[in-house]
Amino acid sequence: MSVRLVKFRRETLAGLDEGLAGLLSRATAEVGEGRISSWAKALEEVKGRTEFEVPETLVVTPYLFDFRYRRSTGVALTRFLEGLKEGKFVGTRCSGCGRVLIPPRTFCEWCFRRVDEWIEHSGEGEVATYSIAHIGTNPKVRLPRPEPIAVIWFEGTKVLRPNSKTVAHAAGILHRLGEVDPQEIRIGMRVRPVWRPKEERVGSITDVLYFAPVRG
Amino acid sequence: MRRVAIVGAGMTDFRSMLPHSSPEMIREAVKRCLDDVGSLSIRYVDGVLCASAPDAFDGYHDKVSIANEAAGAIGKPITRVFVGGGSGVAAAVSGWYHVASGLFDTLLVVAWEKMSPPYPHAQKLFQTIFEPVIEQPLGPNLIWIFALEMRRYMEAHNLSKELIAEVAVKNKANALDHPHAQLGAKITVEDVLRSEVMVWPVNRLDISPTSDGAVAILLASEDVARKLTDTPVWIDGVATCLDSQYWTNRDLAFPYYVYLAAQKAYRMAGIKNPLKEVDVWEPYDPFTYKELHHLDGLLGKPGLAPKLLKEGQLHRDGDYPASPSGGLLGVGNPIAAAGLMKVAELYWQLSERAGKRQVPNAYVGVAQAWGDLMQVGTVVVCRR
Repeated sequence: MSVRLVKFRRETLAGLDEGLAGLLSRATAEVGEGRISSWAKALEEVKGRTEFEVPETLVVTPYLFDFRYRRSTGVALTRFLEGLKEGKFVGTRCSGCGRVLIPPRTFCEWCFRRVDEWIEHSGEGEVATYSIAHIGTNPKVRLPRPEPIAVIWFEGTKVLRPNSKTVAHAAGILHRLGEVDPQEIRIGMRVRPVWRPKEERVGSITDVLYFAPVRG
Repeated sequence: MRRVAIVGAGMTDFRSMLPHSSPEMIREAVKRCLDDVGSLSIRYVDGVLCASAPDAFDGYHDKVSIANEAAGAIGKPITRVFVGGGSGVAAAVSGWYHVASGLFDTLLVVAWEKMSPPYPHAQKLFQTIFEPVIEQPLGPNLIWIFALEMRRYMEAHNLSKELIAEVAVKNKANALDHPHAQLGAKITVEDVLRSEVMVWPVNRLDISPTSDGAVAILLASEDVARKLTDTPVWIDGVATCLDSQYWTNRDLAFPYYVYLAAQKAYRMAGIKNPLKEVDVWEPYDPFTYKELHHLDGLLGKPGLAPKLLKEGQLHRDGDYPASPSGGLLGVGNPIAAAGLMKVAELYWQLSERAGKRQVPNAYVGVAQAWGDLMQVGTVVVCRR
């Protein structure tokens, strides 16, 4: 089938700025033959069906987006990450609506006012919802062991919507569950954070290994 | 403000790995749209409004410029709207602002997506929509948040996976009648339940595919619309509504923002009882449960949509036909284009151009899309 992969010639690369040449040759190497048979199959299928002109030979060019980021985390998340190092969840409380905000912010989106009361939370709470991941970021790769993930709502922070059973707000985060058989997990189950040893903590959300059921 | 009509629509096939470039797809959809309005010349188009999801899919920043030539925007204004998955319907809403304001007599609304180029999978780019400091380090996949929302929704109304799977069966069967569909198929609930588990409770067949494709519609002010066509479809209500980006602070069981957007759009269109007055529903269905979840919001009654599904009321011949096009699950999900496809479907349904997909006696229709990190509701109400 006529699908052609563009590869850059050595002499082309030699004439380029070193950084760009490196990027292009990495693109060719790393993107490689990527899915060329799928493109060929798709072209074959489309040829019989689509009403508008299709290319005779499908040419596929490689491209690699090579970028790195460093982010300043700002006032609120900096205190949150520093708190994780100490084994606690740092949040803020709005003096207008009284909500506890975790992840913390320095403003309240409901009252649209500045928030500057800082609070600490143990991280104990309940499973608001959960699921079992069989894939990570690449959907083609199955995880060796399915991982339970959950949204955790922190104890004592729920605000109910008037006249309904739905929750209007709760301080909460996304994380993994551990020390639990997936079959046992229930919505509403009480959980607590399991921390890395203090000396291993770096001020990242991964300083919490997972949330585990509160037994007994 | 002036009344605004859809006077034509066109789309390309939705396919994975469509061999055309993005401009070629856009141009084809625009051409089909203009042909639909009696071979209207692009000269009569006053401006262009376009929508496409993250630049990273095309691997090309400022990707609105992809549409400049292909949508015939040279010498005219072009604007891009972007609210993630909600972009397609948001484009129709913004298009309405342009024409209703009196500043534009005709406006082309174009949406496209080319999701095939990123390798090994577009999914990796979705990771970057998560909050970067405390969510991305957990290595999430976009399907995670859907699975979490689906589980919460199932808990709230005690729903079975079997029932939710019927949405895939219905929509893929509907798509068999759509000439541009990617995944029209006769499948069974068993097929859905037996397909690979991606992130429990979401299986492979609960998910719409990655697709390439483009859709265009032409909007016109009332007096111009009446000159261009005998079958204008009026956009009588538009609204968008946001909820908080802090999705872990919200109850995912009910899309409150979709409810608020819908209520606003109904008020604008003079609809008092949507259950009685709306004939065709095109709720956003990137996942099976999402059609029900969104329909709950549009109907304003948490837990009603699953009941209607159980009674067979959401089928094309039911009282509340939902996604008669085949939806994203059947026609395909080139993100922004998929939302606009839903608006185009209302045009085809309400002007009786939907062929085998035609819902009988369709006078009023509602299309909705949803996006960003599960918190944007965009709604249009159309009437013939």
